[in-house]
Amino acid sequence: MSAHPLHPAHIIRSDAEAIEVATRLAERFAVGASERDRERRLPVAELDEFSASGLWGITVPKAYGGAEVSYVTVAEVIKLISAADPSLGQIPQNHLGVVDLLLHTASEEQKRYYFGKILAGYRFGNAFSEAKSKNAGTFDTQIRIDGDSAQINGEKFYCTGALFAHLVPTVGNNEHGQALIAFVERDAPGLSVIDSWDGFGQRTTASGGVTLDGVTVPLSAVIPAHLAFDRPTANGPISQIIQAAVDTGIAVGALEQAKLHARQARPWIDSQQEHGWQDPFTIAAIGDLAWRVHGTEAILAKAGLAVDRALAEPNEDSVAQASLVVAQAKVLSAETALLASSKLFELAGTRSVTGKYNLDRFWRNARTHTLHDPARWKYHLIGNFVLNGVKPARHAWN
Amino acid sequence: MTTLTLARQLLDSTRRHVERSDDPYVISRFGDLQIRVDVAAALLERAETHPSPVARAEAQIAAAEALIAASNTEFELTGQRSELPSSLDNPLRHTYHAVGNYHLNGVH
Repeated sequence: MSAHPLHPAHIIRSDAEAIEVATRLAERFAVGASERDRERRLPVAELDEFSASGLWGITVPKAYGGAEVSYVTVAEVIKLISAADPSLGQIPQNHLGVVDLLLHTASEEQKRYYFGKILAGYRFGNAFSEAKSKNAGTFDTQIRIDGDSAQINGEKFYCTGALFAHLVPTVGNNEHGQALIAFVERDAPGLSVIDSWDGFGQRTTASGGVTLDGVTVPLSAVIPAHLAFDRPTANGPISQIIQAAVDTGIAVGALEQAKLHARQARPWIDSQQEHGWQDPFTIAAIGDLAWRVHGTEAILAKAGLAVDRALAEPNEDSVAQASLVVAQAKVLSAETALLASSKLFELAGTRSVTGKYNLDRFWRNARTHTLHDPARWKYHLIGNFVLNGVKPARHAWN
Repeated sequence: MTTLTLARQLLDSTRRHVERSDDPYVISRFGDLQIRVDVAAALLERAETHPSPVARAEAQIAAAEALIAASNTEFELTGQRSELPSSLDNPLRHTYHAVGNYHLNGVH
């Protein structure tokens, strides 16, 4: 993968255009999704089409030439793409988070430079998480500033998108333990991206390892990312709403398949019906799935509005509120995606487990992607505010 | 009184009874209930802005499930259960059927 896009990207001008482009792309991505999953064929051509469509630049502020769409729209775009292929929906996850980090923590010159790159079609990957550090929020990777350059050493994992990226934003600590992000060019000496992701779900995200061995970048490629959490900003909720949108998309896709295959099921012997779709228990179960999926979509849209408010007026209250509503979307999307992707087999019967349909990809994808951060702590986060008035902690997982 | 208003009231009275707690399981119960109430409110709002029989039915189911959960939580955390109106005249199980028949079979 080179450090530059093959073609310049289209620039999307409005929320409506973003939805229209995503709807069209989702139809195309749905066609090969099952085969890509089955063969773990990495979606290189699809990603080029995805970023060239302009959808990776829709959150760039208007002042820098972007459409600065609502996060209701961002969530809808990611949901639409994920309903077709959730690996493709997940890959821009960190890219979108980084666009917002630039907004909050980069210098004016850096904003002009990187927002320009994004609008031109550059894709950010990520080298954030570390599989060996104490917990998700701690980093052993070091970024050491020396004069007008910075040196990076460390080992990363779960680096979704890095393999396909033109620039790899990398998190590391400075000597004061503050988290910085360095933008490393994909072909920089010392940067190795390893295609080591072998998870049973989200199989084509290439969420594998990255090593950084004495990688050097100019100081102009480093931003003080910690500032986005030292003070209240929407960055945590933005990271999370994209997660929730991926899982909502999986739920929507699974419900569609449940309906399609339940329609084709044979009638159960005791039902005294001619057709499977007349089974009263099947009908009621689809009713139960449908309201849950639609409720999840409705809360996802509410979360988008709450993120918009936190972006427009960032303060303790607006950011806490965004975290709370986005947490609801996380819980509902995780549960609904898992439920719908499991129920679909129950309603469609044994014939639906045949390998040719590859319908298990919905559950494998749901189970894998929802592990990003546990829903059990989101109940706690919401309850602690409702009962004790405690605001959510500010970090990239709230 | 609507089902959703009743669910909200039960959540609120249970919260006032408990006052505060450091127990992670008690805290999480309130998180669960708040989500159920808010998803019902979001579906009701959707049914009002984009009215249709199926949207109204989905909002009814969400509100009824929130109320049942609120009533169970009230009993679990306070030892009491407020009396709820009977739902026998408008049985929820047929609402699931109506929603499912629309989405599975296109039957309005």
